[in-house]
Amino acid sequence: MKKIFAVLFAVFAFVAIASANNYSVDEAAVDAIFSEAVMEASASSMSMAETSVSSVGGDPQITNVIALVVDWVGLGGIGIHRLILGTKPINCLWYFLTIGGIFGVVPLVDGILLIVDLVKGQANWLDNPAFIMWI
Amino acid sequence: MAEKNSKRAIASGRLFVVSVLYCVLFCVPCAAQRWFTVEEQTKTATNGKMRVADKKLYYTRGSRLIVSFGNGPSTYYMLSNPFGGTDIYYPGKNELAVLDPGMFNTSDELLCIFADGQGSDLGLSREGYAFKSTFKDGDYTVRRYEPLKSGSMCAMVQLAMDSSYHPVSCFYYDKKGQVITKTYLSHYTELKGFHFPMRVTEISYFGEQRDSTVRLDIYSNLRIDEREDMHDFKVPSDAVVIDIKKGLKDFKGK
Repeated sequence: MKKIFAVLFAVFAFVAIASANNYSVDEAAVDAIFSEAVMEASASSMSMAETSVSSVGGDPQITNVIALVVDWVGLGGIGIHRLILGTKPINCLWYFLTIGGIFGVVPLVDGILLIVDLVKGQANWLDNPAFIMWI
Repeated sequence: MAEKNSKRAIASGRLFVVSVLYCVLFCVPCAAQRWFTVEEQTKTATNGKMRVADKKLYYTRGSRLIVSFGNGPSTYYMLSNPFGGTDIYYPGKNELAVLDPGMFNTSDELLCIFADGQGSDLGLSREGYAFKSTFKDGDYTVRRYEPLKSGSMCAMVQLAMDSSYHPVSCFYYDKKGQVITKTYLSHYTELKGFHFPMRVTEISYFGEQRDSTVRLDIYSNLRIDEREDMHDFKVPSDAVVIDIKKGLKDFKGK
């Protein structure tokens, strides 16, 4: 909690310092923001805006198994298995609005692909932001 | 007649000498400042979380930009040219992914902008912005640019330069006059006549609640005209071309 307040304070202070009419930035304030932030991952990534829910983590194969079970027990129709694999929460809404993922076709194919992944020992569908992950 | 021919010969000779001098004085230096190398660390903070990425940039002026990400077996290269073609190559697996044209461009990279001589306006002219007005604000010279094409999210760009005419800040405004992105450039270094900011801070605002992402690029180990193997790197002809989506997924670090 203290860290959250410290980060928020640093951000607000930074915003106040870097006003629209100021042509330079307080570098100490910028460094403070990064010193207070929690390291997420040391990734070579150019995509900086995080809008997806990440997968549950841990062993990818276990994640696949859990997602497959959730899919086959009937919750695949509202995309719960996709949340487990990691995706945008709005995809669950698309599953629901298309009456169970285009009348159940999408969860069915999802399940088959998850089985294929388990057999091959792969995890190709983690953190996929698309509604239909296999397109 | 002989006198006329003699004058013509003298004029031709002078023209020849001037041409040679021009080539010596201007063309030879223009051949310099061709290979650029720099290391970059990018930190991004959003919602209290931070990401760090280390990369090395190898740029051949007017030609390719090669960005090396990671170390060891996880290393991969992004190769882009001025025309928008971008490939991602994984040397450990000898795999090549070809991204959609226009996805990345050398004009998006600050090193390329400065190396191509576009640093004075940070490449705004090349991006389709027209210079509109200028004014002095203390020691700063501020220039305003507007997009040539309508329909752009950005309605105005304000570029401020210090007394040495180095761009130190660049603010993008939307149609409502709200700031979209603020970029601050500092710690300018000069090497062989090339001026480059070694620290760049970018704040981007998004959403109704004006959330912000802070990005800090710190450059180091700038080298000019030191041609390295990576400048001439060529993807092996036997590289396996992989699916674009898989390549992009791996590129995004997921």
